[in-house]
Amino acid sequence: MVRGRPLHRIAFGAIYLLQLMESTGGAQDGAPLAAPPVTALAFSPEGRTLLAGSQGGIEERLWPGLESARRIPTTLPHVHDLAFSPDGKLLAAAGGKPGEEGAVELRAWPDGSLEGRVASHRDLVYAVAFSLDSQSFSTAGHDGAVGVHAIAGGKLIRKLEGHSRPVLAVAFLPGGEGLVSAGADMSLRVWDPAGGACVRILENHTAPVVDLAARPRAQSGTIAMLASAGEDRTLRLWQPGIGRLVRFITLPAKPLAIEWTPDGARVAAACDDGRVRVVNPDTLDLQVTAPLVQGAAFSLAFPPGGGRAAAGGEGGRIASWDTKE
Amino acid sequence: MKLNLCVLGVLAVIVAILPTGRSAADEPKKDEPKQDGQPRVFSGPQKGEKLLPFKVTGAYDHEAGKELDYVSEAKGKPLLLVFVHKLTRPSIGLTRLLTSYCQENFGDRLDGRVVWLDKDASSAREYLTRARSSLNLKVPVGISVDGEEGPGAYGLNRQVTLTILGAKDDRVEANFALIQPGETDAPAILAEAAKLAGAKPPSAENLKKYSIYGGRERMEKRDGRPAAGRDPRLGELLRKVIQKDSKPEEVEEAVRAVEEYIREKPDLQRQLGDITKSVVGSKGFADGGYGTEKAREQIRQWARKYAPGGS
Repeated sequence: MVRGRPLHRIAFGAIYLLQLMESTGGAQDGAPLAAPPVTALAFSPEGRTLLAGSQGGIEERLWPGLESARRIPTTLPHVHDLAFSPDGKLLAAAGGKPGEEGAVELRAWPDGSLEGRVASHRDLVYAVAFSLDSQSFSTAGHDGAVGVHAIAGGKLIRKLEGHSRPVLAVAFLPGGEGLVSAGADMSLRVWDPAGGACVRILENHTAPVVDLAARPRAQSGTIAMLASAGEDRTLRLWQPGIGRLVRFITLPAKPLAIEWTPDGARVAAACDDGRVRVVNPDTLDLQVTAPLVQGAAFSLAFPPGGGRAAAGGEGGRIASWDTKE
Repeated sequence: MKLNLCVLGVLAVIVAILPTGRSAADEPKKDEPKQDGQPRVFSGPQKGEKLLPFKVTGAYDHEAGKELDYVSEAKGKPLLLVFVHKLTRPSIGLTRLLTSYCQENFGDRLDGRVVWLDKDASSAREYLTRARSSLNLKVPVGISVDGEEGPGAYGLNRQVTLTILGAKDDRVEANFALIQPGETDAPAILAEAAKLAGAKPPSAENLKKYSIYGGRERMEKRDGRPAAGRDPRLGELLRKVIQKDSKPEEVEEAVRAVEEYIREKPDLQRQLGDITKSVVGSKGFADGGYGTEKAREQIRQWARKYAPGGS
């Protein structure tokens, strides 16, 4: 899954469309050279296929071979995020048309049929996240708003306003502890999604915050933690419930998408140099892959069972790497 | 992190009401941790957590320019680390008080160290050298090699002014994240430091020797004025009034807190009159300083109301 991506990053990627691809190490698919950047990745709930979103639409590929399985039709000219509901019954695709509309399509899984379309933002939706009870979902909009929608009927339950610039990422905290949004105003906001109140603002980033990822509570004894990635090249780890920045690491390249490993033991960042950096949240020990894609890696996803993981980049390229290496 | 201490020296007769940062958690949640009735602000490793090694560049004497690691060097010995995020008169005053007290009273039983946080290490080094005598810090000072946010593993909060850690056996035993530091914070911090050093906590009488208010009293005596020190709590409340980035409702709330505090207390009312009259007559005020226009108007009103002869 990948979340909000600043528009300029995508535009930056587009200038590479006509450039020749080079071999960059790691397994890569054979995408056409002029394909748009892969801005969203998500594994299907059973982990057998990988979905890739871009300006070219949504494509389902077999995992781990990456052969194309089918194209899923979409009305979204830009796809910025893909997410499955925790019960695995719905796929949400977020995006829209710049300057005109931000929308989310809800599709039944696995058949891909359109269940609903919600267009509650005046501009692109960069990110979508499901609540853990699969009853609602939240959207992050370029219009500066965060939307909270009921899955049933797609009704907008609440619009959360407070960010002064586009919202680029949104994440529900485990245990019903709230909703967090982040954006170009360099802040993270912790919301009470039920009452709509902003309960806390976290302001340590010094540049736009491009992605958020809540640590899965797969390990007993691990503290609830949220990771944020900023254009200040930092990956920050928070205890959002109490407003504490626990620690941070400054990376040698800008992280564009982050994702926890399924066991919650490490957090990975797809970076603008095409590499993925994997961080131990307790020690800040850093592992780095070889360049997986040419140019920037915009998206990242781990299959439910771990093992090889996927990164998406410019030229429509998707690469996989062994997370144990 | 630069502030001209000479200018501050001129303003020494005015209570230090320089604005500091705002809390990162300015919209409190009902059940969140509180500290003195305010949402608790976190900075740095918490009590019980490991104190990890980090690098600084020494600022003075034989340590100048050398890469140092205060945590590793301590080898588990009690350590008081003062991270200076923002240089203000109160922050440096408290830093000086704490480190001087530790140096003179705990000796070898506890190491005091100051870690200077600045995005520009070169200018920090130049400043620390130039201002060494006015800073008058009696313990080793190091400049963080990690810039203004300090070591990433510490998770320091750049919204605070000082982060103070007490540690022993490489574990944090005490953590103080101070947005508006003042001498009123010293007893609690030094009590923790004394525990680490196996010493008695400081007495009020003993602390007085290290207090900048003691200095102020001496100055006031020279001026032929009464030797009564300023009320530190009043100073803290006034600082909240003159935050430059406060919203009107925040200024109103801060004003209400001041008026509540001085109600039916003639001595505090007189102090408020003295302070605000001095502020209104200062160059800083003439240049548009001391908070928002709403705050400035309130300061004028207090000066008119409480200062002898008004303003």
